[in-house]
Amino acid sequence: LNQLRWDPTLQEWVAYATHRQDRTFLPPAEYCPLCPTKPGGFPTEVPRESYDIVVFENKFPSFTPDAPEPEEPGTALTPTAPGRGVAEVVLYSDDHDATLAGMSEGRIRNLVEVWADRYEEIGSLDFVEYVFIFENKGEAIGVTLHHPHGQIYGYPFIPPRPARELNAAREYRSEHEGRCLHCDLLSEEHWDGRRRISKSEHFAAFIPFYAHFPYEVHLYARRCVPSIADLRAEERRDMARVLKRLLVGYDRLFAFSLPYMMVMHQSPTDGRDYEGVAHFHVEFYPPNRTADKLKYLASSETGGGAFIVDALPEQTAQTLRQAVEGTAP
Amino acid sequence: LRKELETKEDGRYIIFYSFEGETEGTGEEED
Repeated sequence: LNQLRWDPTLQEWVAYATHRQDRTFLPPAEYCPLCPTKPGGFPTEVPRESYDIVVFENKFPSFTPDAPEPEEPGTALTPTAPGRGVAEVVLYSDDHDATLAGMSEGRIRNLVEVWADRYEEIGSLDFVEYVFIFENKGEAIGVTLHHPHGQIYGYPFIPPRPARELNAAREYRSEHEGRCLHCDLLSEEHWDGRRRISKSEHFAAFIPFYAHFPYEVHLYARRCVPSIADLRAEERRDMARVLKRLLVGYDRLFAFSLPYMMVMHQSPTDGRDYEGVAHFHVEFYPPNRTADKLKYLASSETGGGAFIVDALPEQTAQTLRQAVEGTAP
Repeated sequence: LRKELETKEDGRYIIFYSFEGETEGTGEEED
């Protein structure tokens, strides 16, 4: 059911999970499988009448801990491997209509605790090399369930994009007397200031100089920490505060709940040393380039791997900053 | 942070997280 196939031309694994074709697709709100199970109601994924924050194994997993050896053996050139890993769903609230942006800082702070706990627990599994915490929000991103939730994959490999980022950071470190690439980027963003979105004692949010989406935001821990689990109590609290501020701003930007992809980049859990190489940060990619136009990953982006962006980060940052600060005209 | 680990009927695990006070209610901001 779950298998990996090696693409030798791009030197990356592709995961196949054919059973996901049958997953629940945009059910009516009264049949939401992520809501609590009400007395006399249909049984949902959560067998309780209410809950705080819940994590469970995905019913339609992209990876499973007990994935068997693939029936398709592949070849020496194109080997296969079991899709062995973890796929979890994280329910942020039992309120079907809630969004992360609308939640209290306290709840988001608790969610940070859950993310950190999952990072440590999943990362401790010997077959997981990378814990990938993410959220797809909105139908524009292909979301099939509206209930507020995120997901976590425990990959049996380091996925290509974080791997490239880590390689770049390792190379930079060796060429710049042990300096952290991300710390230096943070410093440049600070001194420039034009792309700043929000800043607090422990976190900084900005649209990077090289953003691939018009309203792409990177939220960085200001201290060089490898993972979310390394954040101190005050940093976790601060992360919740800045995260909420950013998400409220996103929703103000076009006066509707903005779709986005949210992903966390942090240290792999493959046993190697990533001190000064991995720097915990969260990346947001909203697909909207305007209120009613989406940025599609078309030929250049998909086939060429080269992003063409319609707006300069300095311009979009100004608009988004005003939305975050509540000073938009 | 309190964790309760349970097993669903089909064998999948489910973890209930609960906290002191702060996440009670609907999850919507109270102000």
